[in-house]
Amino acid sequence: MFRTRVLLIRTKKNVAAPAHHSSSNLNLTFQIQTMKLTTLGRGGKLESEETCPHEIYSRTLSQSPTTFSGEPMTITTNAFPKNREEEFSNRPATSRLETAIELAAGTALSIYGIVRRDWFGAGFAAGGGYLLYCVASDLRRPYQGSVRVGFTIAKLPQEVYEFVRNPQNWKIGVPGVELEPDANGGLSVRFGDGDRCSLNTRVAVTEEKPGEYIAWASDIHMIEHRGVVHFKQAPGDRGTELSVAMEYKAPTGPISRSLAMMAGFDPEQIVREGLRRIKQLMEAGEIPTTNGQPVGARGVRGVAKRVIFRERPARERPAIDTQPQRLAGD
Amino acid sequence: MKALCWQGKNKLEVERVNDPTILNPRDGIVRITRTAICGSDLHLYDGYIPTMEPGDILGHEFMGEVVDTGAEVKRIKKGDRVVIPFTIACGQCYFCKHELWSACDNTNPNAWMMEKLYGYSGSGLFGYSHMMGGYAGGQAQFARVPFIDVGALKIENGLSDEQVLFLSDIFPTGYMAAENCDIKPGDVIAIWGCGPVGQFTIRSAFLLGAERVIAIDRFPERLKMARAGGAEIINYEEVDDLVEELKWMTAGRGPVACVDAVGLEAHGTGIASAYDHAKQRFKLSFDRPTVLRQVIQACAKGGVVSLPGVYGGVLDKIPFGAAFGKGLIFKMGQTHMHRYTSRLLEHIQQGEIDPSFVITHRLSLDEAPEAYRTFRDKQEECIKVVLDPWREAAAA
Repeated sequence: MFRTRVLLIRTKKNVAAPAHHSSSNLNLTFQIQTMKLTTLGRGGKLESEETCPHEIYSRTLSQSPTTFSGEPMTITTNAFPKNREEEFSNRPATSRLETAIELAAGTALSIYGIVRRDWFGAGFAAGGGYLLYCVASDLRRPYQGSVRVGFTIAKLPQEVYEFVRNPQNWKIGVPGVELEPDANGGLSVRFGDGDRCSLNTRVAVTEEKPGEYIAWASDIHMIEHRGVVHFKQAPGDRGTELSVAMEYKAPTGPISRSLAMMAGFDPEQIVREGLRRIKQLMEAGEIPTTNGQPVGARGVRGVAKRVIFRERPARERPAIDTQPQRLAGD
Repeated sequence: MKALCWQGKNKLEVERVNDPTILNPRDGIVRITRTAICGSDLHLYDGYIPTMEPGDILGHEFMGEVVDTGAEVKRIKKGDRVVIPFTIACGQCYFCKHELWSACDNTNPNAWMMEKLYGYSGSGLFGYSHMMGGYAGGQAQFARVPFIDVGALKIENGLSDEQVLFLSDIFPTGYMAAENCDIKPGDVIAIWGCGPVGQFTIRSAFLLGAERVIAIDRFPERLKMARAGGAEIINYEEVDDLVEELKWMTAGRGPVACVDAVGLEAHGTGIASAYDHAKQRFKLSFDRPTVLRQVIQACAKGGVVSLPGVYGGVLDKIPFGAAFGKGLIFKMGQTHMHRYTSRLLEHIQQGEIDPSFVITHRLSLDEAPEAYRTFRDKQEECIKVVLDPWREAAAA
């Protein structure tokens, strides 16, 4: 009595490491181009541990006589068991322009219809009401997105790998993250300021090759995410290309997404700043900061903006920032 | 401590603020003995640089004595007398290792802001807007210096503060502007703007072997100082057509390198200049690129346009056809300070140049707000202001 759901991830956009156009004719592109199969038992209860693997990305190569065999390389990740059936709307995303036009037309028609006060007016109002309904349902539509961020770090791939693989170091990448290993060998991750809003998620490393990549997936919990961290020797003695390609889904529409972004929950921002901090700590031995430096009277506007620039008084600085790190130097 | 704080356009105040403390292991704290007002500080004063906040401490040209160092500081010791370059560099990233110090990857805590505006972020700077790092500046009694081992230039001999202070910005900036000109024997260099950076560019150009230097400005005292440095001078208000004048002076060849040591607040004359002023007034643009247009027009074929002057945003009406048609080379950017500091200290020690010639005003920190206005309006023949943050304390 298995029911199989097939979710086609529609995005064909390149999501992983940056494409190379080097002189060696090596042309790598990474794509999410796949399909995920989830086998569910009756009532949505998981019966098969053997969830079908999904390719998180595959590598297409045009020419590569030495490094690769010519076979597309795939890294598979087994997603955590699904326990919820809701899927993302298959409707194509509505553009902002469309939404704006719908909103304007819907409002105009409704008002016109109401002002007419006759049967035609009722028709217009109904039509306008439908357009407004479309806008509202669009605004509630769950959101899925992908993040592609890469940084080049002047260290060896193995060093970077070891640094990133240690969950304790994630606190450096994402300030305020709390980790707790759970029974399944996964990790419970909680991050956020705590007092404002926070996010819980369970993460498991689904596949990895030391010094090359780590693939992870989360279970469904508020925000579902999965992706690959890739470590690659950068050309010309430039160190390591550390890249993250991930995709995520959040049960929110554009409004709550904007609010979340303002509160610091923009996945792209989190990943980019996290990688940047790792780079800064590994290269320079410290993360640059101005938190706690002297400052004159801020004024009303200044105080408002201080929130945006995320300045904090010295005592609130996380201890990790101030501890000497012995990573820099050759 | 006392510090000069930006409180809005044309509004500066000397305030009492907390003393700086060590925040990171590679920090040092410097007790500032001399600090200066830079021409680029005037862009902040006039409100043309975005992401300034009320309360920000200004100043990026300073020197002093090290009073405290972080746990990881090795080279610099307490009590050292140091000049601090205005760009902050980590010394470990790809750019630092390739001598592109002002492009350092790891010193701007607000890199995302600059990435939004410029695509990539350069290094952090002292006292120069949050986009450039938001570091508290040096027009104060103390300053925190990140990565002090990498940047600080030790002064270990009898040179006075005034002789070495300008190694913190304007001397290396003028020198890099001249070096960018790729000077060969017989070259004629034209320099727009005879402010402090222009003055150092003139002298650096001669140090690097230029045959003739033509300096352009409109203030008699600045032109006089330029002439004292060996340059021929043009008062642009007195000539009809600057390009023709330069052509005449070089027998039709034109200057092989043109230096724009003016930047985004050019004055200029005529309709184009009025148009730029109007645009800037209505906040349609941060920049008035009058001089940039002139240098492109005046530069000889295959020549170099070197820009030590600061530009901030999107410029328009730039004669790019002329630049392309003549095959010009553009060189610009924040000075790669660390590349030049010790080399230029040598020149000072050898007695080949005494940078203190440029100083016209010696004031205390309390007088700084007024000094900004004097400097901006070019009153009292002001060319360079040096501040002593401890004068009142010493007098008391």
